[in-house]
Amino acid sequence: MSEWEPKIVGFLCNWCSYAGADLAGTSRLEYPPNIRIIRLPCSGRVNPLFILKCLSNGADGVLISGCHIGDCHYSEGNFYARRRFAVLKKLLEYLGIDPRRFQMSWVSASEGDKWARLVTELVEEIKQAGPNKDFVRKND
Amino acid sequence: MKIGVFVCHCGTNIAGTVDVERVSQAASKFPKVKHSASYKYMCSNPGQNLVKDAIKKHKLDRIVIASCSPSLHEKTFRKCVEAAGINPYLIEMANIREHCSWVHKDREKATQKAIELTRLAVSKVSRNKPLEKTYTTIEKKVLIIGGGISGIQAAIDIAFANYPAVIVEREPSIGGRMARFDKTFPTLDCAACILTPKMVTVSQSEHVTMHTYSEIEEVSGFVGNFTVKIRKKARSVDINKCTGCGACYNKCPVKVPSEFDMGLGKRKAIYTPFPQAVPNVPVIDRENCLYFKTKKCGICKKICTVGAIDYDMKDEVIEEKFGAIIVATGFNQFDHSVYGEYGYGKHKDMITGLHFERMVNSSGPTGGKIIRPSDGKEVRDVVFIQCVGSRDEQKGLPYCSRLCCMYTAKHALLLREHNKDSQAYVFYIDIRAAGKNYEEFVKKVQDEYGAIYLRGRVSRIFEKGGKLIVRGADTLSGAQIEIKADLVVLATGLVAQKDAPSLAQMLHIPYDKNNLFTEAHPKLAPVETITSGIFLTGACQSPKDIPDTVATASAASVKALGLMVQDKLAREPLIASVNQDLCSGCLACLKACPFSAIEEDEIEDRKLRRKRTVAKVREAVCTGCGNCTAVCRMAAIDLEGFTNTQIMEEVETL
Amino acid sequence: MIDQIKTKAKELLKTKKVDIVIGYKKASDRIGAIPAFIDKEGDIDKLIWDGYCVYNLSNYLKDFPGKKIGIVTKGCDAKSMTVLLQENQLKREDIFIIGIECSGIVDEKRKGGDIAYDERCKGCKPATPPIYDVLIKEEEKKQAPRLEQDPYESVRKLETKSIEEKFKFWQDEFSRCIRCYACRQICPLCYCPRCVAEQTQPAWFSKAVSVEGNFSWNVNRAMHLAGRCIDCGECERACPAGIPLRDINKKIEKDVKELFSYEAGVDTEQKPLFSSFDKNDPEDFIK
Repeated sequence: MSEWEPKIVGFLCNWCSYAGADLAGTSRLEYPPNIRIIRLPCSGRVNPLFILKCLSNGADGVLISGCHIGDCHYSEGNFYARRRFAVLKKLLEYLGIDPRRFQMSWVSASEGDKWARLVTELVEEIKQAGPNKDFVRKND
Repeated sequence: MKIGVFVCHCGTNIAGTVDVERVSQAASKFPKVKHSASYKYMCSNPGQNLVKDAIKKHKLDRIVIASCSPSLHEKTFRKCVEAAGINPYLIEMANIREHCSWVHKDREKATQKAIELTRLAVSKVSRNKPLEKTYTTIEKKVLIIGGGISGIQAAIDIAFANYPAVIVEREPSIGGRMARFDKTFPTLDCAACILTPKMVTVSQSEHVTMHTYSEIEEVSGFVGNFTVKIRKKARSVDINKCTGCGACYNKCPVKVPSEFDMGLGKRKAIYTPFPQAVPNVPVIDRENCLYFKTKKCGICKKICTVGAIDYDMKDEVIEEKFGAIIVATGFNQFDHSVYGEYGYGKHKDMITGLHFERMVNSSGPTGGKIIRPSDGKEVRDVVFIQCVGSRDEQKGLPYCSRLCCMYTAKHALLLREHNKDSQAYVFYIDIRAAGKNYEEFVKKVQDEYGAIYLRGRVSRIFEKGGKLIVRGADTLSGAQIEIKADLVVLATGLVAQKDAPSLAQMLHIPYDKNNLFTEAHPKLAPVETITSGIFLTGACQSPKDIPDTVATASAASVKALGLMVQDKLAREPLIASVNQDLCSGCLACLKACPFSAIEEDEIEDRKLRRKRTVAKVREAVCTGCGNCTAVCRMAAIDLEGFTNTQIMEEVETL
Repeated sequence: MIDQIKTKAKELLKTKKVDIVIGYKKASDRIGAIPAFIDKEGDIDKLIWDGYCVYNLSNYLKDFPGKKIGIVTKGCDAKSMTVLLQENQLKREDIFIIGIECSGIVDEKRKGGDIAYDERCKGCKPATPPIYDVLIKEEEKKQAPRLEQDPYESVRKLETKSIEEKFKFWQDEFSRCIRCYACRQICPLCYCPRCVAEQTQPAWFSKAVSVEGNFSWNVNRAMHLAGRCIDCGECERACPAGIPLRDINKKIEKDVKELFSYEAGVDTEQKPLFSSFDKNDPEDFIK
């Protein structure tokens, strides 16, 4: 493939980051079309196994985005997510997964501009990291 | 399984960038999809009918709507498919507008992405399960946070419908900002004349309870069932004994600047903020009270004939349940000290609009005389500066505070009314007088009251010969202007209360970068928040004048009353549930639940032939955050609507 | 020392304080010790104690539902009991812990050697069990030399490798995984009624021996032990493919200690790592 385009999965909390991405839309802020958003109620809903599934399914990058600390719609969900994924992120890197492939961010409902910037940067970083060939399925 | 996919053009909003026909065609080839179609406006009546007809004609049992954000129309389409006989939870939306057509320009790429987003939604919906709404009871009582005109109006409206309302106000009296105003634009009724009767109505209503000098400490629960802890600060005066005779503050020897009068006048250490205070019960300012400082004095206690003074009174935290919450916390003044060129603080004869309100008020600290704070002389030339803080992205606020144009015009008018020889000069950027009779009012001030309007910014203010020299440009004539002013009045903008973010966090409602609370939808749900059961009114949401504040207060009350009249409340069934066979009973979920919505249960283990502990969800308490699911190692607990199977299916489809 | 263990075991059985005593006995066909399950006073003499008593016996606690159990417990193994108690898998009143202040066990890979202490014993400072009902101390002279050794030496070495080297290293290791799940079966803390590896709705990761399946399984196993693994080393000992599983467990152990000052199995009242948080948990990795 001459023009490889990275595929990125975003797990977004419904209340802050998904609304922030909506705001980027209503504000017509352009960003690259590489991200596929999976809407969840809270960043605390994200199971580490989802990340593994994405990576082993060939996603080039995975993003978890939730409310800023203190702003969680469920008061504490993002605190739990932060701890959980601090551990997973370090582990994945230790096992040789390029840290650019798994990232986390806080984007509030009013940060449409941050969302657009974040995705733009993320796509750029993943492009530099190259395609995720680590887990090509045998039957592919 | 027969899935139907409906792709919306949204006029040109989607179709302008995304080839919706191609999306529809591609969708028709996805597994399990039996029918796909596109339409100009899927949310419109004909659009919804198209969906309903297709459901019947093609015997569809699951639906994907590829259109806008689910936050906008998920409910619409749930109702739509329900009307056609499909369980409302058997739909999913693909957000191809906010997340696609509006953020991408390349038609090919946007179309490709729209196809994939639709594929994602199809894969998810194939794993959806029919769900039934659950029902809870409703606590038939409304909490109103803030006792300004906003909260007062809300309380009156709730009480009128014979439902109980509780006002929590942190100041010793209700009344808020409006109690400080002199006259109100554009009709020039006196603020007190229209506000105090409402304050009295509230205080006399059998349906309204007031907790003044009180603050919200903790909020938990959910719509219909909020539990709120309220801290009633120690007033040091027994509200049930006090008759409001005023002997205590008449005799109190301590004088301190009055907050109510913006420091222009004095109050005592035991005081009511203003004569018409409701409740008319004083409070002791313990920081300044001699008794609390030195244990001497005690005059107020000695003089009080009913024994209402209680120096040992302690803060009391009470807990109450509410079905709905109205947030009416109002605004703060912009801190204009960032404008060095105005030299505020340096010049005694420079005040803000709120100071001017107190000064021009006949019951205010100057008895209605407009004077120079420096020497007490009556003023002649007054310069008003608009947009102090507002519309200034560099140093101030990005937004227009909406009322400064109007209150400045009012000030200019009142100035001339109080002193026929005076002259008002108004520096402005634009005049924004969009309200009923507003433009006419400004025109009247200019034409009949001789206010001189100068379009431009003030560059410098300095003292010379006992006057304030105001230098600025009149951009219309191009002339440099210099005015020798007796008094300068800054029209400071409106900002959020300092502690707005912490209240928002307590209530789980979002706030924007200016700390103003965010409404659920800027146009279609302006007084709702995304947290159901919590409503907004007044300037805590955005700067508002009195008419708008009162209108939103009544709007929020209607929303709250809409809940009060329900017998039971339908709750989204998007909550957690436990597969107890898979559960090991480790209770990691119970410990990780922010809402204590998980409890221990016991089941008979058929394999082990004994009882064992497992987790169980308290359905009425679960809010559906899903944190429990992520800490469950055996995936025994799952979240309806966002199940593991649904999410894994989505990922699988990528 | 073994006499003290036997005396206690006898007393427990005699007074019917317990129904069974789990300890160690000599392996019949080889050097070493295997688990012993004693329910008759007459069998008590089978009990032994030496450096070959490597197995973490807490794994067997769940096999005797409804019975009162006396258990011979090393410091490290007691930590896994602490976790099981935290996680509601045991009732404290059902077990009597004969705590051993252990002097270190031998490295099984070097069987026959004299005092070749196991890797993990070298970093084990207080060998006293965090919980016990009776504590039996090793005689002074037999105390293992407690070396001031970095317990994370091996982890640190791996951490310094480049990302490509790390990937290659672990892929080589994981490529030998035959998904026998011996690591899981032997682990005292893997007690799920049905492991996610065997679930089909959804299928969390590939069940086949494959690059992504093996990777996912091993990450999953490690994540599920985060803040719980007490480094008894059973998984690595059980692995027929010789995958250095302890290097993964220790990595997480080190990270959670550094990030959250969290240590597994020290206190029965402790909240699980992922069911708790601190408002000031680090978030420098979050954009």
